[in-house]
Amino acid sequence: MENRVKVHREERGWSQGELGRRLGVSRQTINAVETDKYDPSLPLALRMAKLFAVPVDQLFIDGWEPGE
Amino acid sequence: MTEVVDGRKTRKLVLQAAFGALVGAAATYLFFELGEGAVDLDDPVRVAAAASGIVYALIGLFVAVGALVPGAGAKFLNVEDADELIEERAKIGPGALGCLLMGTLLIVLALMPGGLSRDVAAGVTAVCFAGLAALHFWTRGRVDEFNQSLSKEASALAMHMSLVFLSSWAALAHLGYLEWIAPLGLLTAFAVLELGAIFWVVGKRGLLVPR
Repeated sequence: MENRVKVHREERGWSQGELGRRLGVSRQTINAVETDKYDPSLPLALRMAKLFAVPVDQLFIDGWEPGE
Repeated sequence: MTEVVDGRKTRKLVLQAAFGALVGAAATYLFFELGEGAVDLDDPVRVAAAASGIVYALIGLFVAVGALVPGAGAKFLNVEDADELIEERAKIGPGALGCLLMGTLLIVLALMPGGLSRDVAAGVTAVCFAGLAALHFWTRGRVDEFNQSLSKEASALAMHMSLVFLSSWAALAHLGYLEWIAPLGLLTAFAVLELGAIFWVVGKRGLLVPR
């Protein structure tokens, strides 16, 4: 799933380590999320959205649309 | 958002891999050269166990040195900088210890019966298994969700590979096409499949991408 975590992190001038500290996860986790290698759990996604003050669907972009 | 890997980072990773391979080859050569007579070189199971044990022990040693001396560790481990090793010390320390215990276990068992007394080997084996079990329980809940996910995925993959590989072997042995695997071979197979699964999952999740 595509995401804009790196964009929001860099806008705030935070390193991956700094964001990890704020969210209580490792730098590896942030790196894996930013490079689309790992989709975070719902609680972590919600915490990220809250931290960046954006809706979850603006942070994580899913191209799925409901069918007819 | 995908990451673009620059040439400098790739060169660093290639050099790290080459260094690791060189140290591994030298350690294996030295082990079999100095331990001539201790390990039955005509027994492929003992040779495989010893070689796997050396690989585990070297991984454990590299990671342990990295955790203890982050400045040096950042040069040969795939991390962003020394601070990352300090931040991750609580996680990578037990990981390194686990690899050292598994390596010791395999090497000690490979040395039996020529190179070591049975009682000593049994004692070391008990300590290694107890240590591995203690580490398993100690690390539970101490790693974040990504690392828990890696661990679960690698365990599931190792389990599936073990089922396919060992079940096929068992079926063929039952039908009389193969000899059933020796006990040390079984232990070595589990260790090798576990390590293979870990590398596969870690690679899939981007942790082998140069940083």
